[in-house]
Amino acid sequence: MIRWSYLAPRLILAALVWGFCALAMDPLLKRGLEKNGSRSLGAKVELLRLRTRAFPPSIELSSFAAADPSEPMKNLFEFQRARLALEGRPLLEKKLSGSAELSGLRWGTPRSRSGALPKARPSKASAALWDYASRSKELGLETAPQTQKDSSARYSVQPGDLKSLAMAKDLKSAWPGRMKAWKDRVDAFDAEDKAKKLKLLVDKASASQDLPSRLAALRELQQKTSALKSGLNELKGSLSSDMEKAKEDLRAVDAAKRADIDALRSKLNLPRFDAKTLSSYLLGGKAASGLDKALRLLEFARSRMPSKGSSPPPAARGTDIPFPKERSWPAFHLKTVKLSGSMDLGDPLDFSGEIRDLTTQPALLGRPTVLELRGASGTRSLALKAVLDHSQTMPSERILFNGRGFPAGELRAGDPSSMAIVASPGIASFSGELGLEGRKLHGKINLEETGLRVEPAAGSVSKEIEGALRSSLARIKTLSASIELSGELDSPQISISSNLGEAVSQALKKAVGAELQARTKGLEEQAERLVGEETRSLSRSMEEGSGELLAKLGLGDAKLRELQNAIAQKLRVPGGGLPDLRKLFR
Amino acid sequence: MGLLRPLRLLAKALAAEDSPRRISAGFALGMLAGLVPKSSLLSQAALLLLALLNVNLAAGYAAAALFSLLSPLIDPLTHRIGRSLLEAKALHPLWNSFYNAPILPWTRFNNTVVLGSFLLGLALAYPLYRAGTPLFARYQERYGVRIRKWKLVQLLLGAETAGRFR
Repeated sequence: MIRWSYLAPRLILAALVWGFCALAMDPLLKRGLEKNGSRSLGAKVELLRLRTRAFPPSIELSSFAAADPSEPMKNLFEFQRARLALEGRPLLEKKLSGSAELSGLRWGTPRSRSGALPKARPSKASAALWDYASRSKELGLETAPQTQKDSSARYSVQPGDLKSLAMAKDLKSAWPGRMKAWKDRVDAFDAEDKAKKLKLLVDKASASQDLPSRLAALRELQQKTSALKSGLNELKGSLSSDMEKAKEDLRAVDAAKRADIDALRSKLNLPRFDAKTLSSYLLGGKAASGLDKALRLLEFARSRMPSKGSSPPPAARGTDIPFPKERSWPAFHLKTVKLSGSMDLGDPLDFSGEIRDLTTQPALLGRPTVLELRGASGTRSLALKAVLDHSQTMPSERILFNGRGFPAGELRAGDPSSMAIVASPGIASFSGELGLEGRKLHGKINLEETGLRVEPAAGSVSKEIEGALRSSLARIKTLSASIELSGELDSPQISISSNLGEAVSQALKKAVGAELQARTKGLEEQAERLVGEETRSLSRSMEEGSGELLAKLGLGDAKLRELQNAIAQKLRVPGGGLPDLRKLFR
Repeated sequence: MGLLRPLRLLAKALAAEDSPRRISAGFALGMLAGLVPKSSLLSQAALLLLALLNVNLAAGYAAAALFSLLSPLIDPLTHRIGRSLLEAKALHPLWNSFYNAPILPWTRFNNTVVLGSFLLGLALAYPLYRAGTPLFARYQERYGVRIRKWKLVQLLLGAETAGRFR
């Protein structure tokens, strides 16, 4: 029944289709990689050539470059050549599994054309970091001379200015009702009365000589005593957690008070001269830029390597029902990726390393992805280790790095229109750790640059301030800075401290006078007087109320222990004896 | 002339130039190819079979196009069929062996709609072929003669004949 006159032209058609695939597949894959990569990264991803081979199955990528979303005229990273050697059997199931070699890897290289995408929106983390960077630039130094001349009446705090005061008053007014509800609940439970009734039951049962009725009484006592015990525990637990919540509310009032003081300071254009603010002012922009890059890469990894809890995308039609696999391959898995390249940290430094278990389905693989890089030349050394564990329900990432002996170029920090400093080239070292547990961020980076000469940038400040800065900064031969990262992935918090900030702070305080400090201190004292009065009395009332209730519940606990002892002593069953009753209540 | 071939085949089918059995067989196979979602290898296999076998291609392609449009409307039914079979404990060893075999995962048999529509198509293919044969025969008697008189059909059929003598 086979119609051969049809078969021949269709075989020719199939051959033509195969030929089309052979010619068009590579450009289509290249386009797909560029498009998906650009969309995930938020900046252009470009590739010069992609070549696939069927025998042996492999993919070769040439001249890959991913632009830096925060600095579009630079590449986040690029590599010259990558070769992926794929296994045949997983390919029959549309899975890419194998190993790769990647050479010519570099970071931060300049681009000839901008890598910005027209519709790219910054991530929440990126927006928060850049917001921090722009806020840290608002020093208010230009208003300092005016502030010195202002009358102190301008700096009086009105209760209406403080949101924290309203919060504290709300809490205080709600507290008696909250306490009364707890008191009623504890009274209604009446643990002491319940324990007394049970004691009577024990006495009655112990007086009986009838073994079956003693056993029945014992069973009833066991049930009632354990109900009393669990009720007491639940009540104590709820009370403690409610008290903890109340303490958290008080801490929130405290945080709101600090925000109120900051808002007042901004409203009054009071300059801030503390070392931390000045460290953020001088180094905040650079820190935000570096952290932005690291967090973007982590976000990229999270979007492409979903953790155990993430559900797979639903099928367009119907439902895909999975079955157990004797041997499962992730859709994409590179067992090892050998890396080599150079890093431009002052001078180029060659490095090598590898990535193990790079996969799009870490939950299926059950192992974390590990990246290790090392490079050393003379006194310079660099080491980086990153562990991306998405194999569990809560994804976590940890990056450890350190580098020593890198020649650092001239450092220009601060805003030339307000205050800027210049540090001569030196030798830099850095070390640090960044971590992400679920959405929670933590990290610390230490920087040190030796052999420096630091001075104020010419013309950025008044002669008086410049002189003070020059003498204070002249003492700095080694720059030390520490950057701490905390908060959530969507709202990272940065805290910077440095000896540069301390030196500038001392100089400004000396130059601009004590009036500014007095103004700020005055604001703080007024806010403390208004808000502190409310929070202190509330805190006292909380301690007393919760202590009283917990003592009452503790009394119930003591009665319960007495009862347990009475049951154990009085209700001994002759013969086989009784189980250790105390264990029942532990 | 090659570009006119599908139109000539359609004209032949409409003008009842082909046997009712071949038209009906083409229609039944086209129905199977049209019902199954195109992302599955099963649909491609049905289309390949349609091309290889001595059946009326025009009727087959027309049925494939028609049932491709209708197929999403019966997704709730095919989903239920597929789900009940994929979740039947007695069949788990079979699905497991398919799931672990090479190539077969490309058929996406473990998708409820793919399996349901494929089995529904298979179940309907033979009854449709048997029911279609007398229907197409009656059609030939009633309309075939009339359609054969249409100028365009005559032109296309003439081209077919001329093509044979070239």
